[in-house]
Amino acid sequence: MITEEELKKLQKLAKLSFSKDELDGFTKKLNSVMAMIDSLAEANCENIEPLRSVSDMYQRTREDEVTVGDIADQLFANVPAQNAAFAKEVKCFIVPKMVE
Amino acid sequence: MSDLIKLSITEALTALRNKEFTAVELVRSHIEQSEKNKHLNIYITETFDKALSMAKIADQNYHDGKARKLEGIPVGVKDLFCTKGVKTTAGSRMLSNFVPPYDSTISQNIENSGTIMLGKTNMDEFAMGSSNTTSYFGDVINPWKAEGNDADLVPGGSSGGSAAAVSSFSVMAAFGSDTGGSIRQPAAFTGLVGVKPTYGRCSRWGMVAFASSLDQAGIFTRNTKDSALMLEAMMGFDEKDSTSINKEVPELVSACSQSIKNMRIGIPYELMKTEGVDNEIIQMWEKSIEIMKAEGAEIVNISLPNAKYALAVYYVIAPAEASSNLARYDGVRYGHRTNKDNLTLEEMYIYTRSEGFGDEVKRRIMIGTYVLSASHMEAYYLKAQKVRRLIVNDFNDAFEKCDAILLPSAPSAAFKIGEKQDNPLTMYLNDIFTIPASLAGLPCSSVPAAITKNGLPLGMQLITPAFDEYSLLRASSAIERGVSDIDFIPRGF
Repeated sequence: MITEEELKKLQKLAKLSFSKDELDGFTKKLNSVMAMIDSLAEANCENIEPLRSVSDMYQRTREDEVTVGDIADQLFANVPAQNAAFAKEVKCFIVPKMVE
Repeated sequence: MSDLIKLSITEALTALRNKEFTAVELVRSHIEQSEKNKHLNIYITETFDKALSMAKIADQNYHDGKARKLEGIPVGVKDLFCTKGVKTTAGSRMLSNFVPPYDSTISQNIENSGTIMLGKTNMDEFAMGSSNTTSYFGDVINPWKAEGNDADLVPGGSSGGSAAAVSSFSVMAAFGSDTGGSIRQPAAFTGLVGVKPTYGRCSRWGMVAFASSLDQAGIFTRNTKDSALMLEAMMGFDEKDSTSINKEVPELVSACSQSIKNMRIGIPYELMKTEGVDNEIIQMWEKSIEIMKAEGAEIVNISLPNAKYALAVYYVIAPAEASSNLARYDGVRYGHRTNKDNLTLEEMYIYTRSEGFGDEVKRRIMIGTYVLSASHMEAYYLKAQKVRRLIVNDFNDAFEKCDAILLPSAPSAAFKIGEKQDNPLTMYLNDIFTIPASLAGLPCSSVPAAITKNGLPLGMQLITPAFDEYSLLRASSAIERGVSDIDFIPRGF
């Protein structure tokens, strides 16, 4: 089962935050799912390789040339409403200050 | 005008070519039907005006002898596929204001074939759900109701809006996505044919990602031949999707009138003992086996011994991939951003994501983050990937002995809205029969096969080897022929 300590760490990793009330109900439901998932421990996987994809994938490559350009307007079309006009003018995504 | 909505796609295309009516009339009749059924909450965004403009172009194309394969056919598109200039929300507050500057390959393919989109259909948030009750835009209501009971039922999920759209005759076909059963289960709940082709057949370019190794576009129609027509238009290699498979798209329409004489149909009899499966589902399964026998198929006993772990494997891998895919929603470049002031960057991420995602999405992100975390990855994620290989091996072994596998699509008929909400596990069990084929990336379908005592549809699932959509439709059409005496039309429609 997921402990309270682990939950705090998961919230930080997932960049999510729950109130104390939300967390109580959430933890119970989460742990019922984890109890089901724990049944995986019974499966015998000796000498079995993990399956990463069902298809024969390989990394396709192409020539290093620009095929799509001049799409700055499209890239900034959906910027969040806060500072949207400024973001579109300077073609930068505006975020809270993070470097002193 | 109301007769037009009852036509099959094949009938409509013939009538349009013979100028029995216009594309404008066809589209208008479906818009009227959509408006009559607003209470079902099928669409997140309606595109009726644009649809009528495109219908005029379709009529011109018919006039000029330039009609494309599916010219003028009104369709719904799950709000998971980016449509240029038309809001695409994935059923989430996180993308409630997102207008894509480009079309998904699927949207482009189907538009190029001449279909006309009436709207973006409602769905469970980020395709996570089996009931269409997790959408930020409200629940979808199943057009079907149980006899003597007025309670609203779920259409299934996550492609509930698409299922309700076709089942209510508001469109002739609707596109959906299937990651763990999100086409097959709602098809079963709404009396429709639902098909998910082989993983890699349909491009995922422009499809909002949930679980990248499982997501696949698919189709809802009212009969197998219509599905075949739509699949021929949807499938195809796309360079922009690195998981797209470069194989020729097969002709599929002829499969729907092929006898299944001498086809070997595999039955995983052990799954008949699965806990929590309604008796009427088992009865339908047994009756469907008789239908296959009556057409001359050979019934073969097969085993899928690791299918019992499929739910656990899926609820490790899908949330893990989701937690990675949904990390991009941070309020920086698009989508929801918190209105709170004076935040650090980290706080902005946290408030944005906590506000933007619903409970089910947050639960799956947390599970995914847990199973991918350093101390748990071996026990959960890597173990799940190994068991996934065991499940794929089971199918490979089964297909040595049979050409198609027959089992139910869902363990019950459609349930009431509000049921199964206390414990997420009860909701997850809806997908117990659909998940194995998803994990193996195999082509699969749901075909309506029975009506319950209280008047609700049930569906049977077919699974075939990878890239054998021809056999899939061949076997599916046999079930269809076997129950041709049943009208899978909701009361009042």
